[in-house]
Amino acid sequence: MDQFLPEQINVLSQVLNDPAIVAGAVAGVSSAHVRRFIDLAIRFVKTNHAHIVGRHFVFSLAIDRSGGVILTHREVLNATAAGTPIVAVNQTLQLVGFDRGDTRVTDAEQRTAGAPRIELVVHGTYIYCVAGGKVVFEQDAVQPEKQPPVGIAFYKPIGDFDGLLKDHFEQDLSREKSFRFWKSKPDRILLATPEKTEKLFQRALYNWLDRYVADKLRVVAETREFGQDPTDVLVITARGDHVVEVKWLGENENGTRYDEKRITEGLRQVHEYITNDPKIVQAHVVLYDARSEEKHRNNSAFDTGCKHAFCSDPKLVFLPSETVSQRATVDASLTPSPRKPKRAKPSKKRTSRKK
Amino acid sequence: MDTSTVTLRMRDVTAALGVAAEYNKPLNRIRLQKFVYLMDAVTVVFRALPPSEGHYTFKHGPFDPAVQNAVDSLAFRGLVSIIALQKTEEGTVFADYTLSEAGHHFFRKMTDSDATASRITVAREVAERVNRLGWSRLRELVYAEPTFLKARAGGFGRRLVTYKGREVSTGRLLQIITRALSTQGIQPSRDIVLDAYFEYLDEYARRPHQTPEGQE
Repeated sequence: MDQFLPEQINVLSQVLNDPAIVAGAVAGVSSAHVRRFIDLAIRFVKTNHAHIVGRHFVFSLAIDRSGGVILTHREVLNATAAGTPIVAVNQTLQLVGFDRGDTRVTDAEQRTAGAPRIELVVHGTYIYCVAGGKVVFEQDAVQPEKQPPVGIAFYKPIGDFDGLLKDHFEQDLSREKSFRFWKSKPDRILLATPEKTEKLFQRALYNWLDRYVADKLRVVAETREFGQDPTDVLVITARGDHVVEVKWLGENENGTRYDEKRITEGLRQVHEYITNDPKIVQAHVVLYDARSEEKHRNNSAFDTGCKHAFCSDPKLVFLPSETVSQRATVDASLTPSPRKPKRAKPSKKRTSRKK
Repeated sequence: MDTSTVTLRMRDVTAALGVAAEYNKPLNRIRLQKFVYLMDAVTVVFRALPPSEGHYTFKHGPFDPAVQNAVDSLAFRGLVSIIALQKTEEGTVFADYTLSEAGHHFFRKMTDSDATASRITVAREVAERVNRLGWSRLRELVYAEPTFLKARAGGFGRRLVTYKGREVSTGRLLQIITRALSTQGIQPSRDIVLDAYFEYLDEYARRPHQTPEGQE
C-alpha cells in the first residue's frame, strides 16, 4: 500500500486535532460554527480579563439561536453573582440566556457526555473546551504560551511503546510528579476518588501519548458502551490503530483488590478487541502495579493462551511509594513471566467489542 | 469518447455553474475543470462514484475532455452563456461560463429530480467550502489533492482515480478522516468529514511552494 508523505501526515494530524473539527465531530455541529464560537470566546476573555478576573463561568453553544445582544463583561459578572454562570450564546457570541450549574471541568464533562453540546469552561483567563464528555483543548486566552512546556526529547513513534512508557513513568508517576494516585503510600493503597482508580491512570497515560506519540494522527480515550468508564486508549496512525488497555493491580481505598488474574483478563479483553476490529495492528496491556515489590516480582504470571499475536507482552509498571522509592523503577523487563495456557484460546467468533 | 460520459458531464457542468451562480461566481474553463474534479473527489462521501472516464493530469491541472465537450454542448443548446470572452496574443481564448436563463430553469429541474438532485448536493457542499476558503484558491486546493499531487510528478496524461482506497488518494484520506473522527463506533457527519478534508487541502496548500505558477 502506498504511503502518504510525511508532510501530508503532519497536515492531516494538525487537522484531526483541530479543536473545531474534533468538537464539531463529537457534537455533530458544523466546524465553521464551532471555530467562530471558540475564536470569539477567546477574544472575549482576552479583551475583558481585567473585569472578569478570578471568575468561573461557562459558555454553552446554542447553535443558530437568535441572540438578544452582544455579550459584555457586565452580563458575565451579573451571571456569576446571581448563581447562573452557564451563559448560553450562539456562534457569534450573542446572548441567548443564563442557567444554573457548576463550573468545574468535570461538570462540563458530565453535561456534554452523550449530548450534542459544546461548552467552554472559563476559569479566569484559562479556557477548557469540552465536548462529548472530554476536554478537547485548553488554552490560556491571554498567554497561550502558558501551555505545558513541550519536551522534544520525549517524542517517540508508537512503535517504541516501551520508550514512551518509560518516559511516562519517569515524568508522570515517579514521586507522583503529575498526578496523585496514592491514598496511603506506606500501605500502598490507591486513591479511588474523585475518579475511579482505573480512570486516574488511563487519563495520565492518554495525556502522555496524546502529547508525545510522534506519528499519531489522533489519540482517543475510548468510552465504553453503557456509560462505563473510559479505560482504553486508541492511537490512530496512518498505518493502523494501536490500542492500549489500562488496568491496575493491588488495593484501592474502597477495598477493591486485583491480583495477577487481572493480567490475563486484560489480555483476553484485548484479544477480543483485535478479533473484532481489523484496523488494530498492535495492542498493549499496561498494568499499574500497587502490590508489594515481592508480589510484583513473584506473582505476575499470565496465561499465554489468551495473548493475541498482535498483542505485546503485558507491561507491569511498579508504582513507587515512599518506602520503596529509592529502589523503584519500571521493571527493567516490564514483562511478567508467562505460564502455560490453562484455558483454550478465546473463540475468534466476532462478538461485541465492548464489554 | 463515450456519449454517456459527456451526458453525465453535462449534468455535472450544469450543477457546477448553477451552484457557483448562487455565489455570483462565473467559472472559466480551467476553474470549471477544477471544480468538477473536486466534486468527483468527494463523491465517495456521498456513497457514489464519479464517472468512470474522468480527469487526467494536464498542463493547468486535472483535465477531463468530456467536461469541455459538455460545456460546449450546453452553450450550443443555449443553456450556458459565454461571457468576458478574451483572446491573448498567442491565440489562447479565455471565457467565463455561466448559466443562461434556460440553463437556470434546467438547473432548477435538476434540483427537483431524484436522479440528479444528489449531484447538485455534492456541488453545493463543494461550493460552500470553496466559498469559505476563497474561489481564487480553487487552483491551490486542487494542487493539494493527494491523487493529483502524486500523479503530477509523472507528467501529463496520467489518469486520476481519486477514490482508490488502497492508494494515496482522496478516497484513502477520507477513510482515515472518518476513522479518526469516529467516537464510540459512531461515524462523524458528512459535513464534518468534508470540513476536515477541505481544511486539509487548505492547510497543505498554504505550505510554501506547493502550487506552481500558472493559469487559474
